[in-house]
Amino acid sequence: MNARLPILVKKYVRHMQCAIQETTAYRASYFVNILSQFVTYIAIFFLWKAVYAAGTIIGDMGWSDMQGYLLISLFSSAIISGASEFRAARAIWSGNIAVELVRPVDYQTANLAIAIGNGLAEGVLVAGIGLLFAMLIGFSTPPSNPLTWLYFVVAMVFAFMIKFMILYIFGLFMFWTTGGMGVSWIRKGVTDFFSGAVIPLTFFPGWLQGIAGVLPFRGMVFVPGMIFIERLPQDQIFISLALDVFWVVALWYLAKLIWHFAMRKVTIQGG
Amino acid sequence: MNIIETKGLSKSYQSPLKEAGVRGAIKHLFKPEHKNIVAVSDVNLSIEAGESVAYVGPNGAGKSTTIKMLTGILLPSGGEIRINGLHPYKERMRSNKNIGVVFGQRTQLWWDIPVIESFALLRDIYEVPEKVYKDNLAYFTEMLGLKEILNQSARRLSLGQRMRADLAVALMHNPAIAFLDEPTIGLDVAVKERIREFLKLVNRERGVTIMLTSHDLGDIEDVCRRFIIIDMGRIIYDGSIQGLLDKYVKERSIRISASSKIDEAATLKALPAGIRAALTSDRDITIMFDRFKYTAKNVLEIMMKTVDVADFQLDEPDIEQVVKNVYEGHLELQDEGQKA
Repeated sequence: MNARLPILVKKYVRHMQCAIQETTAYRASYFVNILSQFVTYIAIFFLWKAVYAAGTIIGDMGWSDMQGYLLISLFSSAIISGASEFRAARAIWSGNIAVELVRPVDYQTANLAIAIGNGLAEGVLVAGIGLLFAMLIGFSTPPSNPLTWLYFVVAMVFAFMIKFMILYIFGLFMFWTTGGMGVSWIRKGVTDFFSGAVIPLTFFPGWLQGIAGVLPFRGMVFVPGMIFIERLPQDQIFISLALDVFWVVALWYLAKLIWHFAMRKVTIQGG
Repeated sequence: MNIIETKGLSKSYQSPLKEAGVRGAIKHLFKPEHKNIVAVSDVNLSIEAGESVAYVGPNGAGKSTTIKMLTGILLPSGGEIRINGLHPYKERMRSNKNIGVVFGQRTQLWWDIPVIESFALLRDIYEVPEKVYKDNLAYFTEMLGLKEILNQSARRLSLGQRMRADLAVALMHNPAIAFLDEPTIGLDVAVKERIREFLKLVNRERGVTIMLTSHDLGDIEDVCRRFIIIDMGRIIYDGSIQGLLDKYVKERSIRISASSKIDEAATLKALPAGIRAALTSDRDITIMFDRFKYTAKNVLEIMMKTVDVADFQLDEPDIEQVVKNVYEGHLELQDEGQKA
């Protein structure tokens, strides 16, 4: 089994490499994508800056904390492009799912590999630009504790996985609705709100925090964000990461289940 | 053991039934109605390793649906199915290692990256050893003329180039079976010719079992030795091409041009039973005769008595005509009960 592992992984690594090439194939669209994320980030950045001009601390976060948090929010939105959301649904609608299924590849894993490739191609650059911008504007407190960085990187990996799973699952639902935008808007509304991408979850009233605290979405922005600005005590970090692990595994199998039902219903065009 | 084996294979699915107009659409929203569509019904296939089989039928006959079940994309709704002894849907990952597929209307190539990268992806997916990959790449590049397109992205290829690259993709891992669903659709004569030659070679030299669907009977006659016709989801013929002709083309025809005006009444009167004639102009006549009863020589001798024969042309039994007749429902193949 061990000897076979590298071969098994290799095919998915190759998917990832192809995805990187694909992302960068259209240079114009590549840069526009990056720019659009960055513009959103700047808008939110100045919104919060104006809010903080009125008072120095909101909830328990100062402006400096918020800057760090927003940076992670940007990073989190950059690591997975929206393309992952539509990939499966588009393949099913167009019937191209057929050519993907004739290959001995696990469809979900291949999609994950492609999402990683897309994410590496776009996310790295967005993160770089974001960090540069933040530093130019006066953000000067990246965490100094190496342990924080370790937790942060782990949290970011989980953030990626959870976001991928959410996009993939909602994407599969598009198969039943045979129309994507409605599903996509609902998905975006729910994730932006419950992940803490718009407002940090600590600003929520207690009962809402309680709900958000058990949902998977918090792992996408809130957990890595709070770890990054060192606002999460150690025990909270462990609990949060454990919850992330639970959700990654649960969502992985939930997606497989949904895929299973979708495939049983699928009647590919052109029979 | 048969490499492809199905027993009573069937596929039916639900199709939404909507009444016309806004009223129908709203009604469907709250009380959706469906009708059951039978795409494939009771299909029995036994194909041995190394065979080359044409799977033919009019549009919507169930060809692609069958192929999609054989390749593990669709779950059959009934019957048994085995590819290399494996269930193609339930054991998709294992079963599909041994097959290669070309869907003429779609591509396996990654759209925005160079063709050679798609090849490398397929190499890794099928875990093709480096040596085999190199040999195959060289072979396919030579045989299919891929040299100038390897470094182009798929979206820049012409249809003919794309199809050739797709064939290479489908066979790169030395599959035991190649399923080719309309591999020559929309291609020009030269490319078609090249692809047929290639397929013959792959079948005869490499022993790849070929199952091909096409509307181009040239493909079929050239590449395939066995002929399976499906219509309305049921198999209505399974056998050799010659067998099909023998069974269903009873008549041959001779077209005769006369050097003087043909006396129609006298000519028709002179014909024995089993020979029919039709004048196409006052100097041209077409004779149809039972080819198991008469030879062309018999017919010509009879005709020469009444007609001043200047020239004649013998039309051979034409597979195209048979298939057309089948498609149009003029021929009832096999037993009556099978056809609805």
